[in-house]
Amino acid sequence: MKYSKDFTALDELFRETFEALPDTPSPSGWDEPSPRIWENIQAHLQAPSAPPRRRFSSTWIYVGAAVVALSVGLYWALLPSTPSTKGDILAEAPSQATEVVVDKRSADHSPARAVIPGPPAVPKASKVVRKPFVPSTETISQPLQEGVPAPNTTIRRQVEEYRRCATPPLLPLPPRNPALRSGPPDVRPLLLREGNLKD
Amino acid sequence: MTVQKPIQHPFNMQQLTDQELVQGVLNGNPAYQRALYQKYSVPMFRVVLRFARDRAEAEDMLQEGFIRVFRDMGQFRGEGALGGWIRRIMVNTALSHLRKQRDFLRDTPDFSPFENLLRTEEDFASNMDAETLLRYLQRLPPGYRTVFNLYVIEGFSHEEIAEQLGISIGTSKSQLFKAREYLKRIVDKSFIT
Repeated sequence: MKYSKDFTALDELFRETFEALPDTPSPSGWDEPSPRIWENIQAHLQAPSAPPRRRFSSTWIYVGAAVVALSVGLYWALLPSTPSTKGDILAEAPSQATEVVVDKRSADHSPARAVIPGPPAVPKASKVVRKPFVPSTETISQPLQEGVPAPNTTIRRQVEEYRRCATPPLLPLPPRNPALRSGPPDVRPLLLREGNLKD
Repeated sequence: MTVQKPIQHPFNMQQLTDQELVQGVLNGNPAYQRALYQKYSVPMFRVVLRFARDRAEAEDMLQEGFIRVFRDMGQFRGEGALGGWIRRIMVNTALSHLRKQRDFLRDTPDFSPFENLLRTEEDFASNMDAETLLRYLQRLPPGYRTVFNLYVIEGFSHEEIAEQLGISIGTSKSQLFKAREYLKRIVDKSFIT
């Protein structure tokens, strides 16, 4: 038999030789696996499979956090806006004029310190009568006029807040002791004596 | 007192069809598992022997491959032959086994001439039977042997070999050429002898 020198014959030799083998093992036993292979496979198949690890992957943690955040956000977004009872309470409370008492003695030496006595304790609104919402033109914001500064509502709101939370008004001071000298000391004689004061 | 129910053996395990074997394996019947192993262990051992460098490595591949077969039996759809499906698992198992070896695809420029390894006359078989050809194959470097097996016997293209082994198509062609050169030299010499 003359063996061809090209690779095609070589390929066919190997392919046909290996593919044409019978199903039974050869007498020499070169193609028969040892019995221990099946024993190992059988032992592996009969071994109890390890229980699946219960672990929460980070993905599920992120998904859960996102769901919670979304739920909270939706709750606050879709919550029906309740009208503030602040206005109602103030409307029912007796309005009292704000008194600004300036301490005249300290006014001479330091900037005026305004003491704003708040009203007596605001009576609790036992029952708040809610008015139905009626759109009016007053609630619609109007464009500002030129040259007119915007109203500073922050200060006004702070004053109102302070008025509601302030303690009861200060008690009047006791009457002045007549034995005490009234007014600043008279330094004129001293100044005249030292010649610092000209008549 | 409870009597353990014996494992029901079919009338003749050798005559079971592939479909019956698959169903029995899926049911977890050990008799069917053994029957499937007995039917396919020899042809599959021949497959992995061609990829392995020796018998011990081939037995490791065979064991790992059959464990995969039993584990993934549920994925067999019955569209093709069971033997072909098992053979693909065996080839993939052999390739993954080879990939674990460091530099198994490393080229061997100092690879000594193949025929010098066969010094005695017994090494040169007068007839080219499968056992002899297998011995020649197993003396090739792992990279040459793998590419030759995949291309010539398993029918892979160079593109598929490159994808499977993570090499370039040029490397696949180069390794195939060298494998053929060595094998042709030794086969020619054996015929002359």
